[in-house]
Amino acid sequence: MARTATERTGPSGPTERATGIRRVTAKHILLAWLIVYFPWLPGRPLNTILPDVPFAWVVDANLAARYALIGFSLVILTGWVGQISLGHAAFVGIGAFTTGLLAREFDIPFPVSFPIVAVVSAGIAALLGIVALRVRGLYLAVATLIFAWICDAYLFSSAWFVGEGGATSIKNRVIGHPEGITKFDLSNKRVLYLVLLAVVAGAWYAAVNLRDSKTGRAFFAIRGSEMAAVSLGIDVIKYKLLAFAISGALAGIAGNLMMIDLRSVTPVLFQFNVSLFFLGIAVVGGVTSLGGAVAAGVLFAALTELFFRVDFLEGWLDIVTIGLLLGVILGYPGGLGAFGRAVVTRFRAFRASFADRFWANWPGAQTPPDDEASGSGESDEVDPAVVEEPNDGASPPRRRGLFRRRPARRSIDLAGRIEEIAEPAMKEMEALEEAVAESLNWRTMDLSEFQLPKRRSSRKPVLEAEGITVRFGGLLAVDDVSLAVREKEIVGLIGPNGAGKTTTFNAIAGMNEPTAGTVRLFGEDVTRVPVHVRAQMGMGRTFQLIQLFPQLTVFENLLVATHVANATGVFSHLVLTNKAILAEREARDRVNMVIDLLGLHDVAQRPVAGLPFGILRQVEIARAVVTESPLLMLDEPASGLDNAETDELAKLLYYLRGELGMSILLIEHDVRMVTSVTDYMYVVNRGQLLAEGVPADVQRNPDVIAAYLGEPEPAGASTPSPKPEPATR
Amino acid sequence: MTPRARKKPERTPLLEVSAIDVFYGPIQALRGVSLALGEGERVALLGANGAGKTTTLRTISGLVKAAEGEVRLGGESISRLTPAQVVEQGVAQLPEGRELFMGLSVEENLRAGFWTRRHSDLSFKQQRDRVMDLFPILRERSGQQAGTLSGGEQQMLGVARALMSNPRVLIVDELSMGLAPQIVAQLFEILREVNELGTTVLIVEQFVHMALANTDRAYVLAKGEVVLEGSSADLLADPALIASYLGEADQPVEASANGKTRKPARARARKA
Amino acid sequence: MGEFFSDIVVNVILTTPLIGAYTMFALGITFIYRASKVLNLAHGAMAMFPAYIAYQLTGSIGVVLAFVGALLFGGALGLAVERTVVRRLRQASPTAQTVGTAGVLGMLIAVAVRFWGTSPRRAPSIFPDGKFSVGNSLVTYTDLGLFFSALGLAVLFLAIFKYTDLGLAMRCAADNRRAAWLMGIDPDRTTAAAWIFAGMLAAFGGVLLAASTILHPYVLALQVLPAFVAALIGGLESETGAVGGSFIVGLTIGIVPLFGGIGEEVGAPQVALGLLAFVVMSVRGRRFSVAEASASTAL
Repeated sequence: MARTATERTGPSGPTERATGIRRVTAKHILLAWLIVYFPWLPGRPLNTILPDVPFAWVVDANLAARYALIGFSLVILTGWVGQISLGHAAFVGIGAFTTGLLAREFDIPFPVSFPIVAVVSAGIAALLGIVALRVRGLYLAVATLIFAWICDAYLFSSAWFVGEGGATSIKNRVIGHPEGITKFDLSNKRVLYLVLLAVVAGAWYAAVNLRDSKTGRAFFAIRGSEMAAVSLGIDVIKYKLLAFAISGALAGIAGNLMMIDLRSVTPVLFQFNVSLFFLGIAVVGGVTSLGGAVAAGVLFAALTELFFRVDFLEGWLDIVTIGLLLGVILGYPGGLGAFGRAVVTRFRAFRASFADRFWANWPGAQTPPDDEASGSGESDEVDPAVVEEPNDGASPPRRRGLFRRRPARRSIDLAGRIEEIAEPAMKEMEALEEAVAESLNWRTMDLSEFQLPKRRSSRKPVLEAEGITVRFGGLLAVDDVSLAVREKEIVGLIGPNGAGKTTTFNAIAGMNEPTAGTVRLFGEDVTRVPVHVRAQMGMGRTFQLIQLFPQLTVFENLLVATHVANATGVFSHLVLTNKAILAEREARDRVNMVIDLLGLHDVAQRPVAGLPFGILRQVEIARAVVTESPLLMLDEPASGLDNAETDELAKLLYYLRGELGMSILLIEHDVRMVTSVTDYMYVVNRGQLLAEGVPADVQRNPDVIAAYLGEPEPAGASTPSPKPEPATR
Repeated sequence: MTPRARKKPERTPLLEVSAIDVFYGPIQALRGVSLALGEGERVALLGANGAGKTTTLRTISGLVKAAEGEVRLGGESISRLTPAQVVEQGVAQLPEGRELFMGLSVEENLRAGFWTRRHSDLSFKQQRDRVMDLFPILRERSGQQAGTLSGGEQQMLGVARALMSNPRVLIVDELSMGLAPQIVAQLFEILREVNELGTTVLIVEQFVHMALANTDRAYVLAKGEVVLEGSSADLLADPALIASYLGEADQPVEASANGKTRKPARARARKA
Repeated sequence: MGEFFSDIVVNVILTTPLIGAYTMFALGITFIYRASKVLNLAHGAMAMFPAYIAYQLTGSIGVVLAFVGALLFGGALGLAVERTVVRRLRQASPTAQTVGTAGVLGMLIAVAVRFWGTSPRRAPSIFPDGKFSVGNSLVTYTDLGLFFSALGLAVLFLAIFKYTDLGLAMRCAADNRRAAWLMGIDPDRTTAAAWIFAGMLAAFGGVLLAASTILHPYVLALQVLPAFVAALIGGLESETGAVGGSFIVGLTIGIVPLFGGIGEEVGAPQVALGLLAFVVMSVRGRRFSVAEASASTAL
């Protein structure tokens, strides 16, 4: 049980950054100064050999900054949300030409046009995003390609947009102040460099904040599994459109700055091959890595300069950049981002070993402190009992979106459970943790004391499905099935293959709409309510084929499930307001709490990929527990588990019901597991409800035995029904 | 309905699965499964869903590779063959969910079934006519798209397609899936005829009674292991069989909550 | 009104070469989609590059042999793209697959630009020189040859699919990959065959379209976008649908400029096609994603 502080707090996020843990050293200040002052760096005062920084380098630096912005734009859209864009040059073009249009027609100068262009391109990108709601993957790529094609064929060849003569130029007047302070004349590329630097730094900062926030996790969740995302209450439509808007805004900003920088652009700069070049920046950077995008931006700008300078290389730029793209995607999908991390790790290891040897022989000297180790104990001081108060069910209803009221939310009392055990020990955290962990270990707990109210009718209904009927074309898949889950019950739904239990389950969970019948959750009719809203109301679920987010660690997977409880908005994520930090801390504490409760410390920091299957099941259930949904729906939780793992799963279910007060509905192939675990069970066969009752009765029911094992006498000529249409009840 | 007396598989069995372990990524699907089918036998492979029946069949037909163990046909290992080669060796399979070519006509489905024999002495027309004799209804439908057939007709087409390769062993996964009982009875009747013509038959089936009534011997799988095996008549009377499907009815619910591990009913009714 | 009608007829006749080329491209896109469940973004480049090969070879070995060489090159190119990129990315995400084919597109364009530049060229034709006038415009023999050879090839391929063993195997593998595997049909081979056929069709269309219009790396490569729209209209899984879609797309391009006002603006046909594509994708979107999902779970 030796857990270090880092293990508990999870990966570095805004909590750590906001508490000032990354120390600023002289080294950083020098680096920052060099970066900011780069265009004016003189060579002469230092020595007589180096020349001043040549003008071309400043031009390249500006180019690299623009590439970095476009890289961010694609990293967010393609890397984080998984939506490919093959037409990003069009967004950049729209940004550039809109800037020109604003200057030409309305005399709007640069700093003013900047936000306008951002909003315009965000809006256009969101429009394209609407298409993305209907099509995925390959088709989305084609849609973006066609979008770029339309822009090229129509928008960029229209005189009203591009200007007469097919090129847009803007006058110095709108970007510089020749009579004012010369330093702020933006037609001076060295000055513009500062602007670009500020924009890139700001965008980078905001994007990092976004990545480590609720919004960023919603993005990753959508990329990993849309099904799982909605089951955790994430509004996929909203977040996809948001991603398109953010991405479009960044690309538009890049176009805006490009116009200011070049002062004259033509449609050729935004053709299809340029889109691919931009995609190359993101892919070579590692698609998901912001730092990688910056590195790739610098690399591509340097390549542009190199191929321009060296005659011998002329015409090879596209071949080399696209070759890089193909090489990365086929051979090294991590790109520069992964490469950079690997280099840093190696270098640290080397430096550490070198320093050890070096300082060891140095009398009186100590090993230099490790940058990483200090300070991450900070968040341990947050009192787990205090954390919970802002999100109990009593928060007032709030308007969300245009018309929707935030659905009434119910939740189980996780904090209460912790408090119960944690009460006396406010002093020694370590001891407390041990105690909590020990007393809470469901694997060794005696759970046999729990008693349900004897009569089923005295238990309050949590979920009621009445007369569920599902028709696929002519096929009657589910015919008038009714079932109920009552408070703290474990209810099983079984049936032979193809009996319609999965269809019933999906209709209840909201994955497909029933042809007839109603589903009520906590007494409210939710038959037509989308899945993510059901999740917000308190319906958690797991999937038959485990739907964890494979690129994330266990901790991060659980963190995604704090989505609904976290009420902060995108803007506060972008600029990292105090509210966002607080919400983030709460989220982390909540996850740590569940990790404590379910005893998942050992795997918390491990990536999901490669964990044993039984653990993955538990993590998926833990993720549903993090949402604090009082109702848990399990789709074949025992499939793929061996006997020991199945037994452990059964214990876990008892624990969730008995100690956390959850109600559970499970469908399962493994009938033995269901009969031993459930309080009540339903049997469907041929789309109809065949039997219901306590397991002991159901097991002895001759109809059930017949449904599972077939009729004792075959060739039942007495049943006249010919086709899938069900036989008798 | 009484199983006819058969020569016991004392010599080398025709198809032998010996102690195979199969993994799907982190999940172990089969743990040391062994089966043996004698020439001309009808054998059932039973078990609850997820027990590993389909995986066993996929391993036999080469779609899945075993980590340990071997599959032998007539004494020779076929573990390393591709599915195509397994079919050529004479093991044809009607996979779970039928897996017909739904967009192709009945005739074309049969041509696909004949694929591995297309360069042999066998003529497609003769073979098709021989198979169609078993399924007169398919002859009427030969130009129709497979996807438009009824469930029972599709299942017949599945069997017919598998028979087109003139197999020594016919493997049928979930014969009765989604079909009305009398259709299933009809299909079992056809399989009996096929078997009498000399083909060894391995059937995976959910409807235990029906499967046992129509086979000579059976194996029962649970959680990837063989838990019961024996002659079909004996198994039919064995209470452990129902337990392996539905659990033991007298087991109190609280038992597992106290942390006792349940083992599958391991009462092995091995025929000595 | 009569004049408007005759304008339509003229424009339809003038779009026949486009319809022919789109037919060949859309057929190839459909073959590849059915075999690999990949939308081949590189298809346009697989048409453009052989056109340059034919252009290059004509000088030394004559038009006809150059044409044959370009066809062979197209087939080889198709196979190479399948083997080096698409197959290697089958286990990866659809994102990677898409970016992979897009990368091939960019690479082929970049190489063409490097060696032949971006100035438009006149490509030689295998059909005799000569033209006749329709209304105020001229139709060349190449235009007609393109149209009729496309129809001929479409019929030929439909016949191959229907009546040959190879066609049967390809249809089986496209219909149900795992079942084909169980029947002894090797889906990898039928997939390779589909890419070779698609590559040759692309080359055929590319060489003739270059002769009928101009030879230019971007213009020719992007002519495949209307073909994508055609294949989408046809449902991506149906050869006859692809042919029908090509006619719809070709006629749209021909007829839209005849409508006054916005129809006369530059790029109006592209906008019309793009909107058509968005509508088609929105309507069929669900089906496409299902097909993709089943493709990813298939063997």
